[in-house]
Amino acid sequence: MTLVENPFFVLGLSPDASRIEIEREAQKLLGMLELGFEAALTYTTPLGSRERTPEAVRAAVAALRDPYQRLLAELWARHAPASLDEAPPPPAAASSGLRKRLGWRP
Amino acid sequence: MAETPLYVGIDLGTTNSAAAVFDGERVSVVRNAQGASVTPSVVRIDKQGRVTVGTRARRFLEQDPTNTAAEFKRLMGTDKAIEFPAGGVKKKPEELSAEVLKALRQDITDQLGVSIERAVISVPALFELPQSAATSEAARLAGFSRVELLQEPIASALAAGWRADDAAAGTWLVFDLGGGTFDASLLETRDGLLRVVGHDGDNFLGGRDFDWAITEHLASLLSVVPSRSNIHHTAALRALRVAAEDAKIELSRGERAQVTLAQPLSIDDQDVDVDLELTRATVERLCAPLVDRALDVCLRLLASNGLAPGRLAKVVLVGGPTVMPFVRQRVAARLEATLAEGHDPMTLVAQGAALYAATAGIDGRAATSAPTTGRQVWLQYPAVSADLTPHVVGKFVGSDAPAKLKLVRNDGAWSSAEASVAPDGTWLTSVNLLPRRACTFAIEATGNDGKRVEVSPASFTIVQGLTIGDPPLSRTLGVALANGHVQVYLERGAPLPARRTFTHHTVETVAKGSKDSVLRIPIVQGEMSAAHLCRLVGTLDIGGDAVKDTVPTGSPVEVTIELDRGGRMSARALVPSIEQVFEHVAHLLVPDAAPEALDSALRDLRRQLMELRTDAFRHGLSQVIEKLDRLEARLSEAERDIDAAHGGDADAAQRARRALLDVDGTMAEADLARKWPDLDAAARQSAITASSTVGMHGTEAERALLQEVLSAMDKARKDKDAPELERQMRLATRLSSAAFNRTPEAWEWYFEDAASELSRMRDLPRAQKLVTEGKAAVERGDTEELRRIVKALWNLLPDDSEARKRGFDSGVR
Amino acid sequence: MFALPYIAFIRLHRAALDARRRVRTWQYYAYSVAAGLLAGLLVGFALFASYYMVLAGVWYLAAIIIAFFVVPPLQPVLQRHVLVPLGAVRTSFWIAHFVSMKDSDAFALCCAAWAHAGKPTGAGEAWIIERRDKRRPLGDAEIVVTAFLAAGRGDAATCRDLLRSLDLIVENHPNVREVAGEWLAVDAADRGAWGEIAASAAVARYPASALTFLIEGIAAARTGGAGAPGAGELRARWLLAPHRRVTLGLLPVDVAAEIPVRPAASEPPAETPPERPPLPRAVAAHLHLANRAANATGLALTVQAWDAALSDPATRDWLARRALELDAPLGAADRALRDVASDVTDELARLAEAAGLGAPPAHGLVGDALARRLRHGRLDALEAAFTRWAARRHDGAVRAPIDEWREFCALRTAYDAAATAGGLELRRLAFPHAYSTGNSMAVWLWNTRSEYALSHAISRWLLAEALTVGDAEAIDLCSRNCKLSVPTRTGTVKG
Repeated sequence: MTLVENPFFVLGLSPDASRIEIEREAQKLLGMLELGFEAALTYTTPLGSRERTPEAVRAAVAALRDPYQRLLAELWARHAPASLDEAPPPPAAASSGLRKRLGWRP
Repeated sequence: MAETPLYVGIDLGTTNSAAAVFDGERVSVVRNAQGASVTPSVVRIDKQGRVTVGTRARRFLEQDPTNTAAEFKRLMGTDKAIEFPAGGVKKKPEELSAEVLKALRQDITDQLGVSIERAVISVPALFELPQSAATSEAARLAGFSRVELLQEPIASALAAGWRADDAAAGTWLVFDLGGGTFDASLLETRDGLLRVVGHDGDNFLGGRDFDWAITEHLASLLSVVPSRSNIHHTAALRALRVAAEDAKIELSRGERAQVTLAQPLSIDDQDVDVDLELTRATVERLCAPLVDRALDVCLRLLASNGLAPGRLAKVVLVGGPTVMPFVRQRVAARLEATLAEGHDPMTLVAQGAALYAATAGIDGRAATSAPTTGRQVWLQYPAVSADLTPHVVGKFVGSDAPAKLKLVRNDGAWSSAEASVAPDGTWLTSVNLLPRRACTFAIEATGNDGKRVEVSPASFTIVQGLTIGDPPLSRTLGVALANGHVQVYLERGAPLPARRTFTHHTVETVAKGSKDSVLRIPIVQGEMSAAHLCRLVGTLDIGGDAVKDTVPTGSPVEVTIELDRGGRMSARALVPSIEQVFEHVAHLLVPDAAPEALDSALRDLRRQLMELRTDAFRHGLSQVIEKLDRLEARLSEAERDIDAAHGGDADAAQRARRALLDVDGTMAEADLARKWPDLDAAARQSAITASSTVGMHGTEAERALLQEVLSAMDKARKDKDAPELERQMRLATRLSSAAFNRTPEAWEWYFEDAASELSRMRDLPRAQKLVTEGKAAVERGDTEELRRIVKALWNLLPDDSEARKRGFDSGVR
Repeated sequence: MFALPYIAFIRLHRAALDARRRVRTWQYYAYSVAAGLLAGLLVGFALFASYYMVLAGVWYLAAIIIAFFVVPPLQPVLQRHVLVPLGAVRTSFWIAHFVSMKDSDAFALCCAAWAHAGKPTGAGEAWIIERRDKRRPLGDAEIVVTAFLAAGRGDAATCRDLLRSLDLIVENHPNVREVAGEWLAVDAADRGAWGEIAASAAVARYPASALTFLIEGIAAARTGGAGAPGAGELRARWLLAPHRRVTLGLLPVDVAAEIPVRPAASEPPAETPPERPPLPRAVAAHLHLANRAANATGLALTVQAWDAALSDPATRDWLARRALELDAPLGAADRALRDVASDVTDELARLAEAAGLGAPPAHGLVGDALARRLRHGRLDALEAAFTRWAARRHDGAVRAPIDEWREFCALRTAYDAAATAGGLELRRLAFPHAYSTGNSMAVWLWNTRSEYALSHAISRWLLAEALTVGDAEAIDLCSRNCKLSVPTRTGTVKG
């Protein structure tokens, strides 16, 4: 979705970051991901943390190089609340296991 | 210290190919055995099956054209095999390209004494996936273990920008007119970063078309005019073309040239002597439309990026035809920009590819397992960096890593602060580079005891200079949906490698065990939102014989498309309800453009164009008429190509196919605007009919309902919402027909109507019998019987299958 | 001579069970007791007789007596407690033949599939499918068998959909439907959907097995519906039902206390402070909506917030200023407004599709586009799906009847989802096409494929829809089609 894949979140940078800061951070993250640094594996968004992949980092830095794409990314990142003051979504209604105990699969 | 790396770039061109190497400091062009910097992309296979490549092969192009192949790059990605009758072999275009690559690889080894296994190969910016994949395959056949593909304009800009000491900030245009393709790319350099702003081009416009234009002109001056659509004239035309090519080169310098052939041409069993004069003015007149076509592409590109022509910092000219003075003048004048000087237009692309190999860290030499001494460390750093203080990330292999480490630049003027190594062996620090220089850093690690620890590698090198991000995808990639639209997966310009997943829903049932029940997921490439205007590059099939259980309509399917830097695509469909993954992608080659099919497509488009034009005249839309005139001109061009295709020119056939597709796309847009008045009128008519019929014969409820429908129709008309209007119209028609059916004459009327469609019925004898029966029923006044007959007739009407074809018969939405 | 009382007893036992399937009142207990007593008599006699026969050394006679006297009355117990846990597909199939007379294969296949679901194997599945596909035309048993095969693969959703689709099928094997009803009841209890069970019990949708009867009682008690059984009656139902140890935990301790507190109506997401400017408010509302299961209020508020934000001059100003600072191409601000609107619309449409919501009545860049998107998207998808379905009449691709049925069910589900989200108005627009294609399919299935029950089901559904939208012509034709007598294996059903 638009917001969880926002380049600024993926790179963990503020919307004010300069071009060179963006390049430097992306290059560092790609290196860290390649070598399996624990700290680089996830990133935070207002909707919770997400897995960070090399593809996402590449796409993020490519988007921020383009002034127009960056404008769009800023529109979201700059105006998003830091976090949602509500609990994450409740897990989908899971089976209570009753079916199995009553002799029915699955 | 490790040996200096060697980065290799190859320009695999339509007419000429070149190779260049970059050692971190200097780019140099590799010369072939004849000492030339470019090698003609010509392959010859003789009676003994010996393969000759390059200049020596090119000499045979005239003497022995049937056993000498050129310009096979244009056929890359098609399954068209090229025959060499003397050797009795057939070669695919990628096999011939592999021969050229082998020759270049040998030249590098001869010149530098090292064997090369990895390289960056340039491809035209508008290459589609099958063509890119064929290029990768050619490299594999030539013995490369790893290649990455880079678009030619990016390579040229990188090479041109690398040299520019003033770090020419601003927007550049790369005007790359090759032998067979034209690419225009808009690039921007800022803060040492090169960015592709946009590109456009024509996959089928190049120097070759100049030659043909001149050839056709020469041909028209002969006493017997050879025709491209006549297969028996091919040899004569080829000879004429070689002469035209030479004359063109001569005219780059002089004002006039003599075209004389040693032997008379044999056309229709007559000997025709060739002794003609060609002036520079004539050549310019002949080629001007082609140059203008390229310039139109440039202006379109500028406009779509919100740039006026005067705003360009520089224009870089690439490719053989740009050597012609008149081309240079014309480009400079129309784009109102200065031309970048001092570049070799013939090898710029290869140089850029070599520079890119450095950025991507693709060392050309085969990996040698050098004996390792000391603690092994994995390093991650940019081989080329625009940033003066890039990060270096590392990890020591195994347990018991050193405690601290320091990086020291080899000029001794700088060393990093001491970085501590984490317990898992990882560390992170940054280095300080010198502008436009290659800097080598030594790794000094110390153990817990404060003693020096040997590490391997002991040093690494980073070059400071212009960099480019990941190579962008040249054409948007997506999945065609059942409604004929495209779901975009990877937008053009997306950095490679890339991967994207979307969830679709099936629109038909895949019945378990049924062979003919297949759900297709067509993968298409192109910028249009209508699927049939894009190129089908592969399909992913979910077959009834493979599924574990029936997959009913509406089931979700998660489709993932992945692309690597070599243009290789893989796709995967996961059907969660049966927990099954389908991975086999049927890759498609560029479809063979059969001249007959092209003929009929052309006829179709002509007819449509005529309709549009009549309409535009009626409504007095001068802008539309202008647009249509341009389309008309393209169609005429396509017609000439189709003529040539009838004469066996596969290349012209491909070009015509592309042109027809483009025209179709432009026309579809115009068509939509045209249809609205008709639809609007039909809607009004149906509203009037429905009001009167329902008013007379409808029930209370139907009348109320019709009021609702009529107001919805008004709203749709106001919003210009065509699909909504069509649906509401259908509803009005139903209400009206329900009311109409209550009148006794209704079924007689339906019968007449159905009988008038007789010729379209699926089962004609049965339909004819039904009509006879119906006539009798009308005479008897047997409404029940008539009703049965009419329904049976309706069942014989064909379903509209057109809609399915438009979405490549896609099974997902 | 000896056979007469035997046959009488067996018949009586079966009659008691059959009668029980038709009621849900006090008679249910009476028939249960009667069946139990008869079973006890048969088993008692058999054990007694066989004991003496073994003593007399004619053990083979003892075996025959056991087979004929013990197996039929004890088949339900054997099936549930022995054959299902063992996954004994074939044994279930053969033993089930002892307990039904007319079209005994139907129940037998159903039992086999039940056993398969208990312990699935590839061989078992193939064996069942082979037998199922030989049975033509399609009836209720084939659907239940297919459902249980899906359950065996762990695909509960498919199983549920298929079992629910039995509603439209006129062929009626009460014992098969009893098993289907039990699966659905247990499944609903498993998901905690007690209201669903109570609703199904109220219309006696399926014959009730003892377990179903108990679960329905518990559901009625929990939802506090009319006619909920008292504590004593629940105890009685508990005694009749199997798996008493598990079901004991389900019994409400105090019926009144068990009435669940309804989850508090979820607060609208945009309870953001009013001083927030429109753009951050829209982004926040959007996030809230994406963060939880979308509901209609949340969607409406988000759409309003976006429409307000995108038409707010401050938003445009910010974009224009920032575009200049970033050196974006000319016209970037306006293009950004359009692109954001279309991105937001895409995403809201996706969320609305997933949650089955209609477009909120909002007008603006996002509101109008969303309304169009949802409406056309749904109608287009429906029309395409129905067209493809009907087109199959001609392309010669003949599917197994069960696949035809599943395709129809899937189309019906899609139609219902679209109609629920879009309301009566959208239903009216969707109906004409569904009707014309559905009707041709129904006719084709009847005339060409002789799938009477299947064709009848389609006509019935079309009739119900025609009545809802008030399409006089369709009502007329569908009711005539529905009046045709449907030949089934359990007898001809009068329309």
